[in-house]
Amino acid sequence: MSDSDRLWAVIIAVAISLLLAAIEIPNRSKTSLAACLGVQSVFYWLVLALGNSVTTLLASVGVAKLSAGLSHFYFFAAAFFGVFAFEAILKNTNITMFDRGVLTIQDWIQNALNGASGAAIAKQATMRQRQQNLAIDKLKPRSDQEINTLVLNKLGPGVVETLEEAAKKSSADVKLYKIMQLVSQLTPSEYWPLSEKLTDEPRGPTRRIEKKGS
Amino acid sequence: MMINDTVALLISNKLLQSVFMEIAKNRSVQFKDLNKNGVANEQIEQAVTVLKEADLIKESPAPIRDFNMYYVTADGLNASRKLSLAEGGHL
Repeated sequence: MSDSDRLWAVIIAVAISLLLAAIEIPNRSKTSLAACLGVQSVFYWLVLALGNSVTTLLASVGVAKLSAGLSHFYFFAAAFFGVFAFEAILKNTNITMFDRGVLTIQDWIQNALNGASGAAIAKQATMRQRQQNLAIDKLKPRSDQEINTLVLNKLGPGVVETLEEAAKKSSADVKLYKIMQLVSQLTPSEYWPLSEKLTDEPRGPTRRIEKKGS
Repeated sequence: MMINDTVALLISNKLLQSVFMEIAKNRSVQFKDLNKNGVANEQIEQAVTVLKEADLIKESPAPIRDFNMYYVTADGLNASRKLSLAEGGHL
């Protein structure tokens, strides 16, 4: 197996590591892929890439002993067996001696994955909060009647009364409570059109005059 | 706080454990969704304060307490894994 084949095998292993990181982090964090873009995710990818590259290089020694007819695919086979060895065996290995971990690869990988997932969850929470605050600010100028209609249409009958009771129980602003419930129950694609409509609709002579003047 | 101490703390307090597991399972939860079993809000508030101090969760505040968002941290995910292992009898 040539050095060029080994290089290609490692490149494929690194690419597969990226793919695996892009699957595992959103899956563990239950967030969008966009929220997973960050330093901790890159670190997790590098950990995976390092492990997969080492096992790919080790696998290349064995792959070179395969039939000469398969020599064109040596690089691919080395990457395949290398990644398999790391993902299936080494990643699930915790070796302890006298109750002390000496080769706790499983723990290292899990800690790196949890680090990346924790960062993604925090980012998603911040992004969501920012989006919701913007939507709340846009819905606040609507009348109580309009908010009640939106709650009725989007959250169903009887919800307005339940929310009013809950707001009173928490000594909170009833209108804000209903807006926050509306925004927290709907997805951004559902609540943005509701808040946008307000700015598009002319709401009285003052607004029309402003539009003419601008 | 060491992760094993945190797991011991969670195992010793059922309310703390159930509030933590609810957040860890869903990754992020609003305050009003933490109180499903009729426990007093003050008790839930105390539990989230302890969890925040242990760095297992973080808070994203909202204008109304019921809508405060609590999300699990990396330490929280590690603790949740250890807790599952402990409950399975592996730790």
